[in-house]
Amino acid sequence: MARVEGEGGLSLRIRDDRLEEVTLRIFEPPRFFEALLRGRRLEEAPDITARICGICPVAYQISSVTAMEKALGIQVGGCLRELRRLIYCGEWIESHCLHLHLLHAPDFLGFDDSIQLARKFPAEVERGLRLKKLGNRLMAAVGGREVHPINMRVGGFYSLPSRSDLLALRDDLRKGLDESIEVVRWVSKLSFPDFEPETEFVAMQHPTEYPLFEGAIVSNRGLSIPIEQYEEAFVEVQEEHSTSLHSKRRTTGCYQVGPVARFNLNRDRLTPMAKQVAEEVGLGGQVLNPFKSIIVRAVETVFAFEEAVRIIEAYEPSSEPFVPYLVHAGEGCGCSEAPRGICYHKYRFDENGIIQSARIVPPTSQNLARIEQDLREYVPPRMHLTDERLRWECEQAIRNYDPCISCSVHFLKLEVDRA
Amino acid sequence: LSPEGTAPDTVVFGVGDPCRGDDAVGPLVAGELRRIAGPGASWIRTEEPSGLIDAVASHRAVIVVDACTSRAPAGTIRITDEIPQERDLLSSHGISVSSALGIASALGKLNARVRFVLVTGKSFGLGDEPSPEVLAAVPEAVVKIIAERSVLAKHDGN
Repeated sequence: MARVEGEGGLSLRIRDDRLEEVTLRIFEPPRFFEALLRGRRLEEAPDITARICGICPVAYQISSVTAMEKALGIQVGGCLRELRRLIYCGEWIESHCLHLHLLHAPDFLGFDDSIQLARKFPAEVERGLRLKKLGNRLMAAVGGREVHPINMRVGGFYSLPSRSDLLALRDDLRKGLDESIEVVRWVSKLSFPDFEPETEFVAMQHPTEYPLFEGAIVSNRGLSIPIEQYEEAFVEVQEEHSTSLHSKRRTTGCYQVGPVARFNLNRDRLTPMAKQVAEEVGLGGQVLNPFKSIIVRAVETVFAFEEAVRIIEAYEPSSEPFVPYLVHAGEGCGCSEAPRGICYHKYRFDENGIIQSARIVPPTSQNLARIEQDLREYVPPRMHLTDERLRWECEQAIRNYDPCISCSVHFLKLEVDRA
Repeated sequence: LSPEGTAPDTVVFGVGDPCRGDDAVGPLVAGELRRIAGPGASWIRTEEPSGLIDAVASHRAVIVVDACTSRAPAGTIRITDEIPQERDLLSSHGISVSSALGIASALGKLNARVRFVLVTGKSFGLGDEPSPEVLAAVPEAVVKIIAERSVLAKHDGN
């Protein structure tokens, strides 16, 4: 029923009260899309890659168009760049609000699912749904539709929304901004387990803005590289227990991408209200507890609303919806901050614009090794729990990363081997 | 067939992933309905299941078209009022049809009558094409949905 999109499984092997092995078995076939892209025209990449995910299609579109534009040597600026930031804000709002209200919050409040949460916290759930819907409306206003938007193209957009189209959203977005601040205050009062693993955080970093799709790739352990050097710093490895690839730093191993990494590396670049409410709820310093990602997602939602209002108020459509270009052989890479973390694309195409090779590294494959490492550290003090309770705790820990496993819906089976 | 206008307060919700073999049947049926109804037919929707929460709150009837697994041969169409059972999803990446309807009910917003048009599939692998049996069932599903809309409209006195 509904989306039947693959399975994952978590295995814990416990011997003599010692956790011997943690394996998160996920079946993630990104190569399918990479192979599918070969032989297609470069202009098709944004719409094909958007199909990888129904929740974060903009991430795939923007990573692909920026890669193509780099290869073609064109610059997309002005209102076209702002519109891209705007539609990305819509995706962050939609994705973050869905995750934190309906999928992660029930874990913290002791509910089995979002239905129970809705019975006990109807006002909060309705608020979350209102905010999510605003994100969807932003996506539709810029991208033509809410799921798998169709308006983005290499060089810009197929058509531009009018100023009045966007201004029609402004008042609702302002209300959304106010409500999103209340969400931060609500989730900050949840109880968080005492857990602060040593982690390398990796995110993009723009000189002045909270990052969406431009800037260097940086970490809290000294990494600072242009996007072009991504493959020199990171490698995807095949783990025996899973068909999914795990990304690792070549020198330091597992790392974390996503809201907490972005926040820790770019907190000073947040918009004023987002920064203020983050400090108000105690996120003045580094966030080391992955369970607090729910607060960070709420803070990033405030940022996205604030940024969306700013962009809409300043918006004046340009005379042309896209930057024209001449097709020639080229190679380029792009990277953007999907709701779950950096999403890297690299393409090479021939003189006719036919794609010869494609590489896509989604955020979840970058977080998988980190998730397993979190579980290795989180499970040992909790091995006395029943299997059912342990499953609950592990699922909550996995959900800290809002996994986008094969960019689809998944089913997790927990096997605890205590023999 | 002229579905537009026969039941303006009944929406059809095509659920599924176009890249997952027979799971594409929801969007395929919705696409065929759009082709018949013409552009701008706002009563045909293909959003993620969370969009159902709004749909059942603000319409008198919602027809959900989705793929299912069953013992029946692939391509078999079943129409029911019962919310189909779904697997317990871990995913933090979306909510299911039954969760969406459960949330709407918990919020006191399940105002619509919900009918399910379920098409039995046999292959749901990433990158699979829809099976010939399911593709062959699409026109029949479209006809059944148009008939369902008419019945629902009569019930509502439209």
